[in-house]
Amino acid sequence: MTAVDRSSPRIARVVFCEDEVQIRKLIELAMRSTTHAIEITPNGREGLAAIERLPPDLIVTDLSMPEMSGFDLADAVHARPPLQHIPIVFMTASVQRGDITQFAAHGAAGYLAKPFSPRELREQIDRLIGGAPKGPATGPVADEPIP
Amino acid sequence: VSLPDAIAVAAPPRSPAVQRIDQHRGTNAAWLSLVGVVVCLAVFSVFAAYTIRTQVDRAERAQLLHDSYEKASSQFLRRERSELAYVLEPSADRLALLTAANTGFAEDLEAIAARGDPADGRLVAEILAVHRRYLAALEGLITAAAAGDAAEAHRIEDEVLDPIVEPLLVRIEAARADRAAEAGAAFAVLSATAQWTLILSPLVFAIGLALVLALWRRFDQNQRATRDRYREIEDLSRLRAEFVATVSHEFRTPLTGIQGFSELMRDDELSRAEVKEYAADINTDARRLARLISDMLDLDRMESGGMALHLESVDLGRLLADTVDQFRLADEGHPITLRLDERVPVLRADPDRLTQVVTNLLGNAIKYSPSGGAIELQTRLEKGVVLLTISDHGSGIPAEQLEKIFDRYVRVESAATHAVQGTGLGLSIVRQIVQRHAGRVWATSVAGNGSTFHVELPLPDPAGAVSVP
Repeated sequence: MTAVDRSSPRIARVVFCEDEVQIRKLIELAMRSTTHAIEITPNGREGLAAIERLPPDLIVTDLSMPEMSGFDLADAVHARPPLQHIPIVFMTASVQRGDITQFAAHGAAGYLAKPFSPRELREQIDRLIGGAPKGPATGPVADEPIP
Repeated sequence: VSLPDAIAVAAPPRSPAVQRIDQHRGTNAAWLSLVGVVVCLAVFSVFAAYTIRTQVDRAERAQLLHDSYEKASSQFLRRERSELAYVLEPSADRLALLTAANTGFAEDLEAIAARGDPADGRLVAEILAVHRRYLAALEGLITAAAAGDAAEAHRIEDEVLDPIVEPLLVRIEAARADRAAEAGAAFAVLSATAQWTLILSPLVFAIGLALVLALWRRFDQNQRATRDRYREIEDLSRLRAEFVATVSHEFRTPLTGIQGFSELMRDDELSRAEVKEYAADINTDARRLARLISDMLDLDRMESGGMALHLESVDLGRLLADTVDQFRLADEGHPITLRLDERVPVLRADPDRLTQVVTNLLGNAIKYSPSGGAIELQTRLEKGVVLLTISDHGSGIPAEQLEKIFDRYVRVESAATHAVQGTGLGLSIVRQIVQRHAGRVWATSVAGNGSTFHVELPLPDPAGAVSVP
């Protein structure tokens, strides 16, 4: 397991769990311009296997997936001491008030509301592994002008 | 992405006000019946108690009067003996006895007058008047006997006293007999009442108990119905919330693709091939959105009963052949075989909707057979119905999902079907259409070895109309 260097952007391992094929493709394309090593899995069970095989620096997971949901995955990760420190970001299509408290209950480091843009995804990932101060779980900044 | 919970929109419940009125009507009726039962039981008890009480009173009074008459009559007879005794041997003691007999006699008679009817009063008044005459005549007897004139005393007794007393005794005897008869009648009524009360009491009690139990059940049902209605309303509002969440969820997934791919096209330097590819991805997601909207509207119209069926004579075999031909043109990876039962008659159905059923089921079969594999369509004439089966050799459906797949937004997903992009509404639409045709649809599956969808449609009845619910 590599120690997380929070001082500067660097190569990090990120595991994604997403069951929608189009969104998996989008994630892959969005992460193409970064230096991070990514692994995209189609559900929580395979995601957990990938996490256990080689613990990542960040986990980004969809919520409702077949076989193992995002919440179940987060709980499983938090139940394993060697993996407990890994921040988890939830991607979800329904962000309502109740959901956000649920994210916190499952130890979310942040969340991404669908639809999200590739840039928002990258920013959220950089914020959590690239040395940005780790604040409370917050959503993406919406509709900022593109530089 | 599929939500685990099925979203089913139940028929709208009647307005709460109507329900409350219904409920009150039921409860009021039940209360009224309960009061009725209690009143009937009370009336029965009061009637029985009253009858017994009055007959007991009547019998007691008749018996008392009878006893008094009897006593009066026996005293009259006794007085005769004391008269005779005095005539035979006039002494002070015997005179005292004779006087005492007459005094007590008058007291008894007054008691009868006080308790008896007016007729008794009149009789007693007559007896007393006669008795006064008798006492006056008795003075003569006493005087004659005291003077030692036994012959005169006997004469007075036989010729004066006896003619006074005899008819009186007859009348007293008659009154006594009347009272005995009255007491007997009262006892007879009492006996009959008691007997009937004994017979009816358990019956009335049983009926009353049964009615009370029935009413209790009615109350309980009312209460349960109220609780169920509240639950229904709760469920409905929960379903609505879930429906909104699901719809927003279902729309956001393709929107993520559209937003993401378009941003990549805008912001990244892409090759022409990549631009084309992403445009195709956007197109896929846009089509999915469009399909989602039209499926949702379709389903909504069907469930709210807004979709009218245009029933025509439909040759099911021809409809299947046409639909299969279109699929064969579009998809060459799945050989489709069609086996038609020649005996299947012309059906009464909406051909467009039936085509939608076949298209959805065939589309499903193809989607869930990602690695190719034959698909078989078969019709069979069975007793009173036509059975259409569509079988694939795809990934199959877990047993616990066989019924759930007909619910909205429920999709069977597994490692093999990740590429499947559906709206999750196709099978709900199929079920709605089939049900509107008074038919049934269900699925069977051998996990890992394909699934079969069965559609059962009723044959047209002789009148030529399909009964549509």
